[in-house]
Amino acid sequence: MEKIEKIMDREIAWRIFSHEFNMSSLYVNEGDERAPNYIITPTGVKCNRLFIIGVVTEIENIGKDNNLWRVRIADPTGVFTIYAGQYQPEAAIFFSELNVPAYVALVGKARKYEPEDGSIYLSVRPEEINFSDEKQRDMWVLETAERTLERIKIIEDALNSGLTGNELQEFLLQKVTNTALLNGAMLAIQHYKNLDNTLLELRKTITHAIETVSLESGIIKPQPGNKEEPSKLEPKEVLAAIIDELDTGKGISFSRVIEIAQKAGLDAQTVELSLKELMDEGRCYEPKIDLLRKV
Amino acid sequence: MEIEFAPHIEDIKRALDNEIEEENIIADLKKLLEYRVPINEAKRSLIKKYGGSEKSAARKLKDIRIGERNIDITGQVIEITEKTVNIKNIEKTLFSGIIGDETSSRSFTAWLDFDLNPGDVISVTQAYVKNWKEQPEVNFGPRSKVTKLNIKIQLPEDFELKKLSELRDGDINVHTQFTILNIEVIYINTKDGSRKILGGIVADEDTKLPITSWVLLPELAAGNTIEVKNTYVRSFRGVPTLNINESSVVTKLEKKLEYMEKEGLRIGDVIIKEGAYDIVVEGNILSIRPGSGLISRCPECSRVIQKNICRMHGKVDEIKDMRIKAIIDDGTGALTLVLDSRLTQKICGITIEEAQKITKTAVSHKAVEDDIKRKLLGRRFAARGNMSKGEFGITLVAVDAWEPPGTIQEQAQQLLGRIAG
Repeated sequence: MEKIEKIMDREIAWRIFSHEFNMSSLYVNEGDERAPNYIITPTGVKCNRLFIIGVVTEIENIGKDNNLWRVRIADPTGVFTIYAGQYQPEAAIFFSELNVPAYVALVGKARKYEPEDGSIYLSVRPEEINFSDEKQRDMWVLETAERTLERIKIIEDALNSGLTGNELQEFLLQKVTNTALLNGAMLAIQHYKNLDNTLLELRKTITHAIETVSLESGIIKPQPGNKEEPSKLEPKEVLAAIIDELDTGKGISFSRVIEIAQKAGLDAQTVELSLKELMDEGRCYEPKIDLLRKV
Repeated sequence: MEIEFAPHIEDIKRALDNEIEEENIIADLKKLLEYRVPINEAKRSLIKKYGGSEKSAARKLKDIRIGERNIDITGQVIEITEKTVNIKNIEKTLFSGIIGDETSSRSFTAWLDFDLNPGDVISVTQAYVKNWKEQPEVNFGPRSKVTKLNIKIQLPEDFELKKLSELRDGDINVHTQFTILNIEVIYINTKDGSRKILGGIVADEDTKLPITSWVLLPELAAGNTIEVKNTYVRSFRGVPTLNINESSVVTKLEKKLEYMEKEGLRIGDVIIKEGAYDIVVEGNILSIRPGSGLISRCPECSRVIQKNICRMHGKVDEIKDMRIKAIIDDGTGALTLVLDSRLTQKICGITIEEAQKITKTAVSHKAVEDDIKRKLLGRRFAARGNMSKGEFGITLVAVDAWEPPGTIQEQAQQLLGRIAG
């Protein structure tokens, strides 16, 4: 007759740009040590879990005895720092075998690192990681932009209302159904100074991010002076994308791959070399002569 | 000292119908209080010791609160269904339904067979109130006495027209409108033998909902637009279902409600509902749960089994199957997406035979799960199906799943326009 214990709702993986993530300066720890740590971002995200699709630009093994990997993942607004150590074996193996630059999708948890000098660094500890591609990244940028704009609007409305305390909470309840977001918005408004300016700046960053993905797709035009823009993809990644695109489960003929790769600006020799690399890496195979299949 | 607990003594005496000597009660109560037993517990145990029962208090349904015990309810049984539940591996039959009085209606559970039928007006003593889906639910247990009354109860009149999206499990006197998309005769087994009912799908402008009609009415035909009054809502397989019975008023309308599927539903808005029928959600696959990939099922009961042993049917010849249980998340909420072998094959491109080959070659049970992970994790997918909530959390069992086309240019322009505006 006991009530069935309610399964804890899974925590949302928030969509946050690295720019916003890195400028967060409020941290909450609820109760005991095992309770999750949260960072409160300027748009009021009470963030533990987050989801990122970006470009890995740097991988360093910084561990002395055991492996600890520090990885930089860029989005159009900046860079996330990822640490993967012995307790994230899957991610550690993934990074140890990865060549930069590469599109990756990562689910992780926000971490705070405080070295003794008083500075604070925010990083992400991976839970799940996988390869991704340009299109998935572009969709992530747009979704993250949309979610962030919604949050900015909520905070701006709250600031304009001039309300505080319980009245502000009542006001926010009309706009927000998610309790974590409600809670986070209250904390952010209390904590961040000059929040209206910060949000204005964030809007500019978001506009820029959307523009970077709305350029003619297919051809990457790096913006002048934008250091975080991913460099041109390796030929084999281009090939992998082509095979991935064309193989609907039945395989694709060799000659067709070469034909399309040449259109994309790769010469026959590069194609052949890159294909061999892909096969060596086990990312595609040749079940029959003149037939390629993705793995 | 005696003055201090005099009112409590009075309470106890009343509960015991004044049949016990006051001195005995005082002596017992003093003793318990010396042991620092809280006064409420002391009273309760004394009443029990002398064979009395705490006097229960009459309550209207709108006033009941979760956790209340010993309450008296008078109301009309609106609907009742026999259910079999499994508690600690013991099968138990109980009765669940809706009861209404002048003030409100609530779901109820009767843990014994009180021979209740829809329409019965009953008085129940010693009922208690439990939490069911964050709502108070009346429970009738072994100590409850149920008496059938020969009176009429004026149920609250609720003529406010509701949208299908507003309907919740346990709603009674529902007044709504819909167009019937499809409907058919279903034969069900009841304790009075086989019975014909109607089952179908209806829709208004933005919501689809299953309906069950316990009466065979000619108005209930596909394509007709219907206004109903005095219907009720019960969840069936986790999805709110509209029920039409003998006391419902059914009128055919000379208009049509055009259903338009809601696009861009947010998972965060979906999961605050009790359940949803035939919806589309879109998000990223953020986790492939254990138990995905190649699995074995019992040929008798389809339970997932290991090593050819079913816990109900013993040693059996397993049937191979594939499925994916994944977390899909769009940044507003997350739910568990379940894909069967057909959809697993559609989005991963592997057949059951290929999956078996992969498992054999890799000599690992997890090979197929790992393959699925590589193909899906982090990617954006859309899925259609019914959302329900249960002991395994919030689940959408997919009837279709696909990779959305991703109109990046369009969306980017739209967002830029929104920022500028």
